[in-house]
Amino acid sequence: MRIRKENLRICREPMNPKEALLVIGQLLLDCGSIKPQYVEDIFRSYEQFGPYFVIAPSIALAHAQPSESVLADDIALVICKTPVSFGSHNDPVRLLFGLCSRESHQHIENLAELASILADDEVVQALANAEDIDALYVLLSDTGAGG
Amino acid sequence: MEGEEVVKEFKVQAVCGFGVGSSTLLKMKLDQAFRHHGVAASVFAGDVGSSTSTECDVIFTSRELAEFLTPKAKCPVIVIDSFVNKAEIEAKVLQFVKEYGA
Repeated sequence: MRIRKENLRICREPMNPKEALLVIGQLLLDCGSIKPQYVEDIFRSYEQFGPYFVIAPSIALAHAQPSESVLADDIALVICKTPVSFGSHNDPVRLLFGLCSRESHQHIENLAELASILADDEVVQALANAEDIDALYVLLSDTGAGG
Repeated sequence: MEGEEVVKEFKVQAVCGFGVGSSTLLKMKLDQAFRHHGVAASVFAGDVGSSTSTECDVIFTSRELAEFLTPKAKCPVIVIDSFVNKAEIEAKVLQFVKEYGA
């Protein structure tokens, strides 16, 4: 599982939680990896369970359950230059990942790579500080998640 | 004191909204932490809806979901603030093993 260049976005505008989730949802849509229903599922999860997907300081991992709304396994990443507050103790969020998988077990592989990157605080800071997509992509490639 | 001692294997559930996203990430971290401390554990991921009716010895989850789970759970519910923080996860695993182990 690699994060492709077209799955990366840098967002400078201030966003509320719904706007931020819409941006990551739209990115997965643009990648052709999900149907619009999946974005609705992400919203519903947020309304129902709150910001539990803000899994670590600065890091959110938006996703819904595997379903027929998922067309391809994929990971997208939005760098929030204006950090977003979701109402979590891990706010504000600077790295907003979007995840979709067709099968549950597929998540394990995808997440294993992601987890190894995110465990390194310096890497997280570097990703959050990337000023353009090229720089971001190079950083991810260096960690082994890009390419 | 060798040989016949039965090693207890903890049944450990990592819980997120659907049992497939952040819980899988947490499951991997918990696997590592239990292994690191040499404690036998079978760790699996669960979703918030069904997790409290699944038999297990302990639930690890986020702060937000713990609010849903704690009133319903028949086992300890332990909050993990950062799913990627190895030190926090190891400390909380160790604390659990001390309190509930053996």
